[in-house]
Amino acid sequence: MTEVKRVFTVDGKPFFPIGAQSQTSSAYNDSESEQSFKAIKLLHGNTLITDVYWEQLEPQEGKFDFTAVDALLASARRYGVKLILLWFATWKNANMDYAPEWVKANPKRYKRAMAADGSDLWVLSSYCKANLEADKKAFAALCKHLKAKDSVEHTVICLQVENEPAISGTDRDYRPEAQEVWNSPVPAKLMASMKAAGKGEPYDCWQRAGGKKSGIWPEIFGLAARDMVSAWSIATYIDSVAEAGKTVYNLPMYINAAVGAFGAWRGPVPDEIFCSGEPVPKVLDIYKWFTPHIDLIAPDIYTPNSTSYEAECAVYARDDNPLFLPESGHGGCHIWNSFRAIANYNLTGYFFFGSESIVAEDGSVRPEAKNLVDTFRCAAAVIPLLLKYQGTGKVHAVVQEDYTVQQWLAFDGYLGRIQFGAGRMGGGASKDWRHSGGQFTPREQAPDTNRGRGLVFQTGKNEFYLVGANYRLFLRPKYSPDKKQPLVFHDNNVPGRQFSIDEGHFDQQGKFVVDRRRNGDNISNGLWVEPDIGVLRVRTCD
Amino acid sequence: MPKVNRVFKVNGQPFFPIGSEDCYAGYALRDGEEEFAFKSLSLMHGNSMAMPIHWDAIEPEEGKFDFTSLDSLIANARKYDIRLIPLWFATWKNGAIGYTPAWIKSNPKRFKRTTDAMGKELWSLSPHCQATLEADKKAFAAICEHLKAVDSVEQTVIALQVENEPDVVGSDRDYTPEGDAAFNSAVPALFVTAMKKQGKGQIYDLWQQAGGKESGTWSEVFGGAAEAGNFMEVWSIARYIDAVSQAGKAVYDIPTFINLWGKHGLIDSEMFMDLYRWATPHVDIIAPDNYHHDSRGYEEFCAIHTRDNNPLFMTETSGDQNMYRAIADYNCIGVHFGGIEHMVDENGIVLPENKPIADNVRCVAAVIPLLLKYQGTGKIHAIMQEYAMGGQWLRNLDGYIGVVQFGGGRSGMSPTDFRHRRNQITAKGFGDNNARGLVIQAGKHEFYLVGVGWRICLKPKLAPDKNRTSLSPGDLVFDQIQEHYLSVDEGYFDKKGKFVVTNRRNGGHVNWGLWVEADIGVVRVLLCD
Repeated sequence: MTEVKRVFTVDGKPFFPIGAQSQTSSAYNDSESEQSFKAIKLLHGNTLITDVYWEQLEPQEGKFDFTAVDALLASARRYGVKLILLWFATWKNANMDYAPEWVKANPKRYKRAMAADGSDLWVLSSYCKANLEADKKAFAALCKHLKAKDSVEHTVICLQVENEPAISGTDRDYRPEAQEVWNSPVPAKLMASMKAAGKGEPYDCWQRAGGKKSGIWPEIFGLAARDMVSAWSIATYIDSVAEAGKTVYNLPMYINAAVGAFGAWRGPVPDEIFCSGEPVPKVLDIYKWFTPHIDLIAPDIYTPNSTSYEAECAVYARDDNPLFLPESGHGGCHIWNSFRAIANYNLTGYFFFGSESIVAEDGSVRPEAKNLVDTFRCAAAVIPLLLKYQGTGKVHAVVQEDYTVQQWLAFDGYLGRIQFGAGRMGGGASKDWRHSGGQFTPREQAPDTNRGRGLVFQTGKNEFYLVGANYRLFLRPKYSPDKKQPLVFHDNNVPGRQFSIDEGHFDQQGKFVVDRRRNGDNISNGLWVEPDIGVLRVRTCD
Repeated sequence: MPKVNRVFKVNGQPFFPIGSEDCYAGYALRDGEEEFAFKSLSLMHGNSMAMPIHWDAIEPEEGKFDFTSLDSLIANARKYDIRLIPLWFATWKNGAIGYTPAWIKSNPKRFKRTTDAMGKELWSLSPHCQATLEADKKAFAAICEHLKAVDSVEQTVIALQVENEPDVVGSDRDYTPEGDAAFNSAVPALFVTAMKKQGKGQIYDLWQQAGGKESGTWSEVFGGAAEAGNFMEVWSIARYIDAVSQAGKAVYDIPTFINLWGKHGLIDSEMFMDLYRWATPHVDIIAPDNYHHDSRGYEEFCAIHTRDNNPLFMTETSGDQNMYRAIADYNCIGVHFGGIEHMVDENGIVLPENKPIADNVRCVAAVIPLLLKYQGTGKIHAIMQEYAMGGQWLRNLDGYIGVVQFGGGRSGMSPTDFRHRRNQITAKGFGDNNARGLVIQAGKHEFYLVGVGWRICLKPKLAPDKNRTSLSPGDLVFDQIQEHYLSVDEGYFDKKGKFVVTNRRNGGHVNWGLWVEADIGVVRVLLCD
């Protein structure tokens, strides 16, 4: 049993934000953002993640324009959704695209990161004080404005500080200020934090490099020093921006990281470079140690295969860091893996990237987005159960993996068999080798997108809630030698043990409201779910 | 670095079996079909065949043995230079009695059957019946005696599987008086000692929760847990098989193994594995029948059956791409995919739908000398295209980072050579013909590649003060022109394990990445600083 830390709250109550993130030019004006708000309603979501652009907020140094922010607040209230705002400022995907023109045009004052050959990069340097002060000032102004406009309604529930911060185009910053840090002793706080942790990637890099008590960055970390110094520098910078904002208006804040590499992330990362300083698993500890004003570090997960997806969840779901997905993919395994993130990694909020893309011209859901929308609809339908049962071991993910036709679930007092698709053997029951249907012929792959998927909650010894698509559950009481019950797992539920089976939904107060009862033929072939039936409540008796 | 226990040997030399498990065959094969299976496997580059020998064929009358079927298998194996693993279908075949001789089946008074809690007799022999055990032991020993006589020099037969997927089906345990007596007896010291020695696992945890008593009945030791009866029964079956194996080994010292089908709704696969491994000191391997096609399920099953005291042997599996991970990450010592019989047409040509499996056999067979040398050293890396993956990073190479692209490369149209069509595997696609294979680092600057449908770029890891741009996932530089190749050669390993070059690659054939396909053999890459 793990206590799930709820960073997101509304009016002091835990809140599970769910929805989508708009694309990166959608928040400049009302007409562009409209489509995103429509998308959240189509998703059955409750929150839109969208942007605030430094260049638009502070077009001239010290002159702020909140028109776009006010428009977002107004639209959100009109649509009845909450907002998470992304502060696109010093960093957006490891470059400075959203910095104001007066910053971009003045590289003498607002210094850029430098490659080893001395060339300027299109990235602001984290070692330049002027950059930090300008960013802090603008962010504090944003927070002050939000406090004035939103401290009663609480439409904005959280802020993301920067976006996928890192330095692209070099393995580290080589400008003189950075070189000075590189050749200075590693800060005592970092040394002490590693020592106290006694494990983790920075610790391992330090040990591999000889475990020296003190020294300059390359002496302490060897090859990995490039990533470590950039992470330390960027983390400290962003924490300082966050602090400037929080002092004005106390909202939760987070940093996001581009972690997916080529769709194949497996296991720990040795000494190689990605975008230098990105809050990837290798340097996550450093970010956690040097961002006391940041509530969580969130991975943007786009990896398409289950094992890599889960490996990423496992790294970011820590006792000191609840898992939150501000961005994720919208196809492939993202349609089913999120249920595993919810059940096994206590995901505290769930978004995909590119809200606009699900909306058809007539305002309906585009057909190719239906499976994704169904997934969000299912997750949104059980939010009261998520808030109550995540971390208790009572939430079980149903996921149809490649080529699988069934899945087993162990419940308290019950054994569950989930059946996907057509049937138990999927037509593979063996005849002989001369005839088709032999068990060794290549298996039929599971459906490409509409996989069996969802969640099963056991809320009491004899009470279950089911939500999802394309699966049916068979429950059998666990074997007990005294009962003399048959051991064969029949494809029907034990007669007489299903007390009541109801389709329904949770109301605003989190109370389950029955919409329709099921009985007879509709329950004798398993407890089936589809996204449009809502939540299925199953009560059994001994 | 784990030491790999090479159970399979030929004339004292380690042997890596790669081939087929033909479980419906044997006496059921029509004229010529048996030979056809061997011929097909040989065409597929396999080196090992597992085929059943049936108790009812070997001992049709009690005490009268007929080894015709076994001799025929041995003769065919020798003809095609394939090693043989006979599967002893006797007391258990998939938990049932099917292959026992008529004189056993028709005499349930003497050869007692398992009875369920309601008193119903099941189509399964009781492991608590001494007469059945003695009969099985006698027959198995006779087989070993025969093998000793006909095969101890040539060693065509490299191992024996004792029974097949043994289990009790339809009850948690045997409720005959003998079964009750076993359940109500003290748990064996061997069991308690082994459980304590292991000191972890689901059974151990259950025992600890029940108070960790070292003596008492099965029910007492497990605090009345519902699983206790099934633990006793599985343990008894395993002990029975150990005795059969012991009787055979006493006559002819040959490796033996048991194959398991995993969880069955009463206890989990890990519990099965614990009970079997603890109960069978006279059995060399407990081997999983791994029919999981999803990589998660497959790997979980590998992990459960790989232990310091149990090398992983994939005795029945589908032959899909997962085998590369079993070989690279779990030091799998042999792979038998199920069902050679229907993979080829009457001319021995692999049917199109089975080509991916045949390619896997060919690729693995091509690098056997490297597997025998480098498994367990961390130098073997699996390439495996999981769902919708476009590529893969190899991060743990010594001094290099491997950037692997699936299918036609980043552009989708990167060239191979004139013999191979471009873009055979789509990067986003997923099916039986995914990109797959092995990268083996034999030295700091020496790599061997084998597989299907991918290409690799080897990027040197540079010291901190050397200038390099970042390797960002979205901005991958795939510039082979800058790679420091000494030589890139296609080739194969000869009988002595020496690499023989058949074709050199250079220029346009290396600039787009080092690509592999099943029919080009092994690619050797030598680089320099």
